[in-house]
This record gives sequence, C-alpha cells and structure tokens, in this order.
Amino acid sequence: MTDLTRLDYASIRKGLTSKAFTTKEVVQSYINKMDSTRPLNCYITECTDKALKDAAASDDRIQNNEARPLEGLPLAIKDNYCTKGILTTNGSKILSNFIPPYESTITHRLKGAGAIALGKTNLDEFAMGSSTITSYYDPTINPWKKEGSDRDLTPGGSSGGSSASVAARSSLIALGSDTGGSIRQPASFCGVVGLKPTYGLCSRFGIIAFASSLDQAGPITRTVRDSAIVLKQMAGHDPHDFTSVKYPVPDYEAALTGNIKGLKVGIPKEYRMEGLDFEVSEWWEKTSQWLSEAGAEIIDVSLPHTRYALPVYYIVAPAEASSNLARYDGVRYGYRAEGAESIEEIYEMTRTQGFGDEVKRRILLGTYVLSAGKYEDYYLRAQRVRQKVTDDFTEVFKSVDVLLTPTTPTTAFELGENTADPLAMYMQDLFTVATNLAGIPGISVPVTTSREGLPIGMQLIGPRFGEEVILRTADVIERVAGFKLKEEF
Amino acid sequence: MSKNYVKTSTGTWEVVIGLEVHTQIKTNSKLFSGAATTFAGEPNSQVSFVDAAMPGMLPVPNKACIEQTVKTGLALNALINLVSVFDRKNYFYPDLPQGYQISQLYHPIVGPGYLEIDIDDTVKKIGIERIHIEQDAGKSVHDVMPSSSLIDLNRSGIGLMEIVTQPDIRSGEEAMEFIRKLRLLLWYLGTSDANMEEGSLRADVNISMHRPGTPFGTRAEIKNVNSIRFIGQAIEYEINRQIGLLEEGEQVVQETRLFDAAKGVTRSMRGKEDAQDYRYFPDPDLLPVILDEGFVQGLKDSLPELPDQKKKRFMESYGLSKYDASVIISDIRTPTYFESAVKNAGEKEGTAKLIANWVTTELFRVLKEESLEIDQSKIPAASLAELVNLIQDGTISGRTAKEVFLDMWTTGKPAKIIVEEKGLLQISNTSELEQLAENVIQENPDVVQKYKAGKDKLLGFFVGKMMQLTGGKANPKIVNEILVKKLSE
Amino acid sequence: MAINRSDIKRIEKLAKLKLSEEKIDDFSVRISRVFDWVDQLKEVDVEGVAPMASPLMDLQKHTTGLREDTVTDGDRVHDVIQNAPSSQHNSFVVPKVVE
Ligand SMILES: [Mg+2]
Ligand SMILES: [Zn+2]
Repeated sequence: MTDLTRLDYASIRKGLTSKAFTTKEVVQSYINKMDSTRPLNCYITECTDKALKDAAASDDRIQNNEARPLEGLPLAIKDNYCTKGILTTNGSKILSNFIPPYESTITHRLKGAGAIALGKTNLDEFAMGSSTITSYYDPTINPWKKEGSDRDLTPGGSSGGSSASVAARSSLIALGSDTGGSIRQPASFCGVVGLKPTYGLCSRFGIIAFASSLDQAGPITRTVRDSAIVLKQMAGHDPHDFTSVKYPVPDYEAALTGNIKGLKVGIPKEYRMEGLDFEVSEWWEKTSQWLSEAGAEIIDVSLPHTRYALPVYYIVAPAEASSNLARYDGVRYGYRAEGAESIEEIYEMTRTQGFGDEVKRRILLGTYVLSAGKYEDYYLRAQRVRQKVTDDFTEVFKSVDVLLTPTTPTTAFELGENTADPLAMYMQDLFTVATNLAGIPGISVPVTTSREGLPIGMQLIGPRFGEEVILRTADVIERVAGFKLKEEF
Repeated sequence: MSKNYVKTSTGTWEVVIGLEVHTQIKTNSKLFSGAATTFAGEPNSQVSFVDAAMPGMLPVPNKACIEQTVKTGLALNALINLVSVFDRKNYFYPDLPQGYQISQLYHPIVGPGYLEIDIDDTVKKIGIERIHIEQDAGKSVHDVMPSSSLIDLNRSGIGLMEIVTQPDIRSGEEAMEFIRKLRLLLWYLGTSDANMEEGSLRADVNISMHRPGTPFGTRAEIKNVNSIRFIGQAIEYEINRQIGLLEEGEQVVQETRLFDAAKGVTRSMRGKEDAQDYRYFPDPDLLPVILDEGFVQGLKDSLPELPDQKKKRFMESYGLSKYDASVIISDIRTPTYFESAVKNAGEKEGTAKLIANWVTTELFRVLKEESLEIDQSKIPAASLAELVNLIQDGTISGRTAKEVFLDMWTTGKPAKIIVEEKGLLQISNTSELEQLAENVIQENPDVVQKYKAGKDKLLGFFVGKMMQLTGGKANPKIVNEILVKKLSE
Repeated sequence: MAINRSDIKRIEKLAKLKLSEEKIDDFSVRISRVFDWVDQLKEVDVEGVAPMASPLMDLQKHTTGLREDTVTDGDRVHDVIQNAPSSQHNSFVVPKVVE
C-alpha cells in the first residue's frame, strides 16, 4: 500500500469516499510519522488517542454516506488556537498549564467539517518571532538541511511547528497565524504553501492575540488546492469577533482554473532591496517569466512606502501586544510565581519568570511607544504611515490584479543565527509585513530549491478579499514549478 | 457678592468643582459580553470568558449600551458624536482582568451639553463636557479571608456611563443638587437605576480653591464618593483643608484622595509615587462606533417627558404651585399616581390642586411611616380620587375626610363605604341646620348679646356648638352662612 | 534615539516585569538600535493623514455589528475559575490587597 502521508487532501478525500482506505488508516500513518519525526519537535502536545477515536467515528460517517467537507483530514493546530480540554500553551511558560474551557471558532469549524486534530504545534512564544526558537518548549527543526550538511536549520516562525510538520508529513494540513509573516515565511523555509487571508475573513475568536489589528488565521498545506479547500471551511463571518467581516465565502477550489490569460501581475520595484539573496532574486525573475508565458501581463509597479512597513510594524505590533499580554498576571489562569507575597510581587515575578526575553522585549518596546510623550511621536505617527502603506496597495491594485514578490529575502538560516541583532531577525518579515498592515491577503508558494538545496518561496499579494486570484495564480506557479518535497521526508 | 464665597480673615475664597459621575447603564447584559448585569449574584456566576479576559476572547459591544448613552446625552441637550472610538486604558489591578479598561478617551460618544438645576429659586446651567462609555471592574472582597482578597468578576464588564461636568459648580449644595437632578433625569429616561446603595452611581469630585477673579487653583480629585450626603461632606471638608493649606502659604497637591465616611475626612490615596501613565490607545478589537442621523433621531423621538417638562406641564395644565409640582415630579412613580388620581376624579375646578395636596401631605406621611413606595400605596389612585370627589361635592367635610383616609388606609375599603358605614355624611340640609341654629341662638342669649355688640369672633362659638351637636358632620360653609344671617336679624 | 537605564526602569514598572540586571544594558543597546531605525518614519509626510487603527476602518458596516441586549452567557463558575492558580469561595484568591 502507498504511504498515505504522501497524498494531498484532495486525494485523501477521493480515496476515503471510494473506500480505497479508511480514516483510521490515514490517521495511523500520520501518527507513525509523528513518532518517527519527533526529534524535529513539531508538536508541543499530541492528541493521538483522541485522533484515533475521531478517526473511527469518521469511518462510521463515511460508511453512512455522511462524509463532511473535510472528512478525515489529519490536522495540526498551532498552539495559539484555544482547544477545549486540550493544553494550549502559546509556546510560553506563562500558559504552560492552561487548559481552555472553550474552542476557537476556526478549530471548531474545521473539526465540525470532519478534520481530525493530531496535536498542537510549536511556535515562537506568543507568536513573536521568525524562527520558532523563542518557544518555551525548545526550537522546532526544519526537516530540510543544506546539501552535504547536517546542521539544524530553523523552520522559520512563528508557525514553525506547523510548517515543519506539513513538510515532514507529520500532519497533512496545519493551522498557522500570521501577524507579520508568520505563516508565509515558515512555509517558504519549509517548501510548503502558506496563506494569510484578508484581515477579517477568518475569525480571531479563540486565537490568543498577539497584535489584534494584524493577526490572521490561515492554513499551511502541501498544495495550493489544499489551501483552497481548507480556507473555504475557515472563512466566514463570526458574531463573536467584531472585526469579522460579513463576506460571502466563494468556492476557492473552483477558482483554480489554471487560466491566467490577461492577468495583470505587478512587480513592485521597491522589493529589489539590499539584503535580497541573489538566487532568490533570480527565481523571482524566473517565476514572473512563467506567469508571462502562461498569458499574464507583467507590469513594473511602485509601492513607495514599502520601506516604512517594517518600522511601522515594530511600533504597532509591540504596542498592541503590550496591552494584549497584560492579562497574563498570575491571577485567573496560567503560571503564578511561587513565593510571591503581595499582589505586586505576583505581577512582577509571574511576568518576569513566565515570559521569555523576546516577549519581554516586545512588551517593553510597546509600553514605551504608548507611554506619555511618546504616543504622538511613535504610535500615532506609525498609524498614519500605516495608512500610507495601505494607500500604496489601494493605488497599485487599480492597475494590477496581483503582486509577485519573494516571500523572504533568504532561504532558511541556522538555528541560533540572527539572534544577536534584533534587526537582522526582524528583516525576515521585510516582504510579508506590509500585507498585514494593509489587511490584504498573501500566499507563499514554493518554486524550487536553491543550489544549497533549500526551498525558495514566492509570494502573491492580492487586494482585499482577493483570495481567489492569488490562489489561482499560485496554482499556476505550482503546476509550472513542479516543486517536490524531499523523498525521504 | 456671591453667597457661595467663603470668607476668612484673609479675604474671600471661591470653590470650583467639577464632577465625573459613573453610573451603571441599565441593560440586561454587559457592555461586551452576554453575561447578566443583575445585582448581587453568587461570586463569579455572572461572568463570561470575555469578562474574565481568558486568552483569545473578544469583545462585542452591546447595542443597548450605545442607545442608552445616546438617550442620556440627548436629555442633557448634548452633542451626539456620530463616530466614537473605544480606547484601552492600561493599568494593573487584581479586579481588572484584561489589564486594561475599555473606555473612550479621545472620541467619546457624547460631547458638550448641559443640565439645569434649581438653586435658591434661580435656574443654573451646569455644563456637561462629555459622556463616555466604559467597563466596570470586578470586586475585591477583603473581609472573608484573613490574609487574602477574593476576586469576584460579576461586575467586571458591566457598562458604565461616565458623565463629566464642566468646572461650573460653586458649592457643595450645587454639587448635591446636580446629582439629585441628574439621578432623577436618569430615572425618567430609564437609562440607569442610578442606585447609590448598590454602587451603580458614584462620583469623582474635582475641587480647587481660588480668589475670585484669579485663575483656578490646583485641584484635588476625590474618588468614588457614593452618596449625595457624602459628596456634600467631602466638599465641605476639602474646602476647609485647601483653604487651610493656602492660607498657611502651602500648596494644594494635585492628587487623588479618598473620602473616609466614618471620619468625615478625605485622605491622600496615592503617595509620592510617579503619576499613572495609562497608555491609552484605540482598542484594535473594536472598530469605531458609527451612528447615523436616523438612529439618533429615532432615539430623540422616543424620549419620555423629562422632569422639567413635566413640572412645567403640571403647573400650566393643573394649576399646581411650583413647590407642589416640584415635589410631585421628584421621583418617577408619583407623577403617574397623581395623574391617575386626577383623571379618575374628573375635571373640576381645583381638583388637581386638592389631589396634589393630599398626595404630598397625607399620603406621603403614611407611606413614609410604613416605608412604602407610592406604587405600593394601600390607597389606589382611583380611591383617593373618590375621596376628593366626596370632599368637593360636600358629602364629607375636610376634617372627616382625614379620618376616612386613615380608615381607607387600614381597611382598604373605598371612601363611600366607610362614610356610609360610619354615618359620616355631612349635613347640608338647610332647613335641618336652620332649625338647629335657631335652637343654639335661643339657648345662648347672653352670647348673642355680646356678638351683636360687636364681638364678631363669637361666631366661632356658635359654629362650634353646631358642630358639637352634629358630631362634626354639619357642612361648615352652610352653617356659617345660616348663623351670620340669623344673628343679624 | 538612545534609551537609557532609567527609561527602561520606568517602563518595566508600567509593564510589571523586570529584565535581569545583565540584560538591561543589552536591551538598552538593542532597543536604541530599533528606535534609531524606527526614526526613519519621521521622513514620511503624514500631513492630513488619519491614523489607521485597523484595516477595517472603512468596512465597519460589514462586520459583526452591535450585539442585541440579551443574556446569553454566565452561570459557569467552574469553567471560569478552573484554571486559577488559587481559588476559594468560587473566587480568585490573591494576597490581601490594601487600598
Ligand atoms: Mg474619572
Ligand atoms: Zn471612568
């Protein structure tokens, strides 16, 4: 029998309906893979017993011809989605004992559609990072290695556990969250597809907040089609989220027509910036040629405020985070420092011991930019520049349908690299962060491996609610690129 | 010279007072969650995951809180801001679960307006600076455990209106009258129970002293004063304290103080520690609240008759004195009782005035004795109307009526029955009374002699005799007429 | 812009957390670098541009909208306090708070 972990979900769904195999068999092969890839540290919590029970129930449904849209989908969930009765740590000591009595809207919907949760994946603590090394639960390791090297590489982050598990086949599809690039960058580093939808398309209810005006849920998959399939179940209005938009959810899978004749693809010149790896730049050019050959019109465009996106992000995100993370005070849930004798000691000791350095740094940065005398100069100014960054996109989408850019300036780096200089790490988000500021969708699709043997991803950016067009374009790239994960994964 | 000026050996001082009144918005559910707002539930029984600030929970604003606040603004002749924004006020406190309070600093929902108060028979306008909506905090209970405090979040997230006045108040009496008037307005509107005992109305008092004609002095803020009497006491104490300091050549420190009701003093709440820095910024979980003109107009059209309008109408259409009208409108139930009685009694000259008189004297007295509200009156409005009718048509005398009234109160029987059973019908039969008068005159020739000699006051002697003979039932008006006529023969 | 130790002490107090003594200097260097970099935002002409607090500022009418005033939640004391580090009398317990 073929290794079931090698099939994409579109094929799994076919096989289940035609009774070529059972959900139990699918889930069991994933559990086996979870066992054999455990050294990669993709998961913080595994729920394999429950997964097998769910698989049995799923098989019953299939027997009764009651299969749901995601029946039997082996799903990994980033550990910042609250899952009822299942430990939800957010990669932090401060939530190392937190068992939510409620379920996030997205996981609720996916489980209701037939997905089977395999476990909760590792992430940078509070989703703050681009390497998954700030997790309280140790780093996740990228299944890819440079050719001829056995040094561990980062899977990227913050959804590093999710992207690594999809690449290593210890999950078929994984949920991520993207505040500045946290789905797309790790997807690019791991050679998988990562989609950050339009802000407001997917409910944030039950996803632990990092920066509320930037956070979006999204899928990490091995194929563009799988992203389209799962997005349809994730998207849609949620009355529990005031920032959830009432938008009729289209059939994203139907958008994958393979036809992009006449599509206008913008190449923003500002993304050719210092620090962009030469090889990545080459493949960016090559990808645009593919699109041109497929009938698209390639147009040079300008997004003049691009260079300000990252500094804006490093004010807005920490500011919101400093406030969002004030609730972790050792009073109602989570870690409480031992030996604290007054309420002030509970606060200070709990937060000092419970948060890691990167989280503390961002809380302090955010506290600073909101503090008296700094608010106008930093926070308000950043919000104004944010509008300018957004206006650039609004303007450019008057003349093009999608934008094509690299996802990241470089391929995956080694664990422990880029940690001394905070700016070097922040540069990881250079190409992804502007879409979060503007609230527009972006997808990373793998195009090749570099000469060193590491995946390179390209990003497609669409206008608000332009998921169909970026999925259609990504699908075309995927078909031409013929990118494959390593056989041994 | 204003009577509000305070004169001391060094000259004249004027007090300047501004109030920040926090009052609970009358709704079924909380400002951002579906938990109930009922008073005094079991600890933490009226708490949703949102109110407990569990990770990933999101606020969704309650429409009724917006409506109630807009209504209040309209009744305070205030500008309604069609765009308002919820901000986060960041600080740590054990009964503040989010680590921030959601409030409105930069763009409150209600802008400038005013409230007119009656003070020493003149009308004074107190400016309203703004009304904003914010969350209440939970409650810390200190007296159950010896070395711990218990946190109950039942109040956490209840909607409050903060009504901020201009510094237009110039005495403790004005401040107390403002609160009385405001509370009455809120009762009429039904937008707040404004119940000080349950803590649903409390005021922060900003107070400073200066020499008339010079700039305002440095102010102190007395937090959370929770009764009208305490407001008066706190202001009086603070006036003396501040004058004392200033006359000693010392400074008033800008600080927060607490009123100690047991000792009748205010004391400094926060020491020399640095000023709070609340780091307000717009809540990214909540978009601006946008109202349209139609919505506001609809609320305007739905406003009930307000106290001042009602008072004016009672004076104009019922001929009530300003005093009676003021007394009757000074709670919400009395006007209903009063108008119901007037309607039942029918339109006759002086009926309404007579009813007003009975309500504000006899009825209020018995209600007070038994600590009842007027809607618990043992004499329904229709019965009082019947009693007044009996007086007006001469069936019983006013004196008898008081006796009947008490019988009605204790027995619950209608006036007519009591009058019949006790034979209290007034004697208005002229021939009967003429005969009686004849007898009295003949039996007292010497008094007649003196009367005729000019001692007019002796008429009372004959009236008294006749009343004695009739057991008080003789119609005093007719008796008077007959006696005057007969004695002048 | 340089951010010194006393700035950091002040924001630590507001944020209720402490960096270890060795890390304060390191952090002050790092955060100062970040601010030098962030200072390039001062180049941007933002005259007349309203601050953008959310990507949905113009889509308010398409979101959830205001909630109807009905009681739909509560009566779940156990769920609310089950994760508490310390609880008694159905309440969260903290060391005595003196006003
Ligand atoms: Mg106040
Ligand atoms: Zn307030």
